[in-house]
Amino acid sequence: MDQTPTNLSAVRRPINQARGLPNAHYIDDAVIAEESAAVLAGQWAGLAVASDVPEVGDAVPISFLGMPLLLVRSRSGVVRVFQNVCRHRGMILVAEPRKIEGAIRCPYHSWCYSTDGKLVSTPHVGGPGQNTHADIDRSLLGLIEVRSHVWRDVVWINLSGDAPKFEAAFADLIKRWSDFDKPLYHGGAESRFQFDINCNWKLAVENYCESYHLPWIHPGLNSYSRLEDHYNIENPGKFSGQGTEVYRQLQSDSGDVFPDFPDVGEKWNDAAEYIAAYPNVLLGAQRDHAFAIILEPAGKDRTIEHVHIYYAASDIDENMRIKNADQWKGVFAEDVFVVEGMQRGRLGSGFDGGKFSPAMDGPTHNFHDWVAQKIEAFRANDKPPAHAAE
Amino acid sequence: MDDLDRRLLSAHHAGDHWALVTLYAKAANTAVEIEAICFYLTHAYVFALEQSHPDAPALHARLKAYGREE
Repeated sequence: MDQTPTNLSAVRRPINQARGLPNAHYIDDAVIAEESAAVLAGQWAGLAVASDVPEVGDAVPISFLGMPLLLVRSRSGVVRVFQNVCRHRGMILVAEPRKIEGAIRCPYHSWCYSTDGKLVSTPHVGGPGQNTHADIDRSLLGLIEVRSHVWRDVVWINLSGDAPKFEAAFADLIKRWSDFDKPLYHGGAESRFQFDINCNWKLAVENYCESYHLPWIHPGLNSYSRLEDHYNIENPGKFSGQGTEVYRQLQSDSGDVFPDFPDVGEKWNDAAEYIAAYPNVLLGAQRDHAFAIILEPAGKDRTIEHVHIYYAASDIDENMRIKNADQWKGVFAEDVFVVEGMQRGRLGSGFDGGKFSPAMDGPTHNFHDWVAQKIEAFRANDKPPAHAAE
Repeated sequence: MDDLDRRLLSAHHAGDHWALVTLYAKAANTAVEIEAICFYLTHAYVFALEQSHPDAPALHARLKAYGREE
């Protein structure tokens, strides 16, 4: 088995000579801990969607890489992410999703925080009935905020706090999809579903971003979206995916279609793109609907895929929304045995990361190269793992 | 245990924090010692703050007047 640090030189070679990431990046706790610090905590990772907290005061506790976080829509309407921990004794503040009517009150000693993280009350901190103390400076004891940014409704976080600004890190993708820079309306309950899958999160990225597998795993697509109708999307060091030139709109029984995103442009009449926004967000953009899949790394060999579908308007026909969600659910379900099979395959000690097809596997190699590059940069900076004991 | 104590305990058990604001304020109003008054006012204020209860500003003002709150 590979040891920490893994040798990533083969991953970084040109695709015709490269190997995929070593097995240890899928099965070894120590290797994955280092990798997680470099590519999940150290970059802009998808955590949730803003639609998870649609109203002021909505709060959702979320664990990410084992860290307890709190997603909140503050009084001012801004979506913020905090460590879900009281500054007093480290108690978890919010245990279940709920509405914060006023302040976030710690259930232990009742220290209270505003929804923008300020410490606003410290009951009995100076003795019974005395709520101030010379050594308790509330301005220094607000909730620990995690750097966050909302784009395409996805709440991205940078746990390490030192990644380049989101707009800079994702500039190429934002520009590529500027035609789709329109308001997105979450399709509601039936447009939100999950898959709990027994694989490392990277395998879901790898499977999503290439079209090579489509005719074998999704034969239903062959009738209208053949392999030759797809193209690879490769932006070295940034993102990768696939596009189609024969996007076909879903139709209701009476021939209705979803409304287009306004002024999206003729280019997208028959085209659509599916891009993995590294590290863990899978995005789809089409003329009439979009989706975001957030890959929750729930364990070295467990990933929870959170799927959200969006439309160009808020009043989309419910039956069509359900039909569309069912269609995507069916497509995504077809991928499950593949990613789970690749996870089990990583226990084969002779597997060397795999030989890429230079013609078809560019998007996957692009992703592996990105992972390797981030890990090498992390090692060069000699940074300790994000969760190292102090 | 007097009636107010019983109602406070009952509200705690029921998780009725809205009622706790009123009940703790009532306890403060019936207390004699400043320490007891401020203890009860603190509880009333915290539960009011938690729920954006309309009495929160007035409770805060009373605590501040006693030098017990910022």
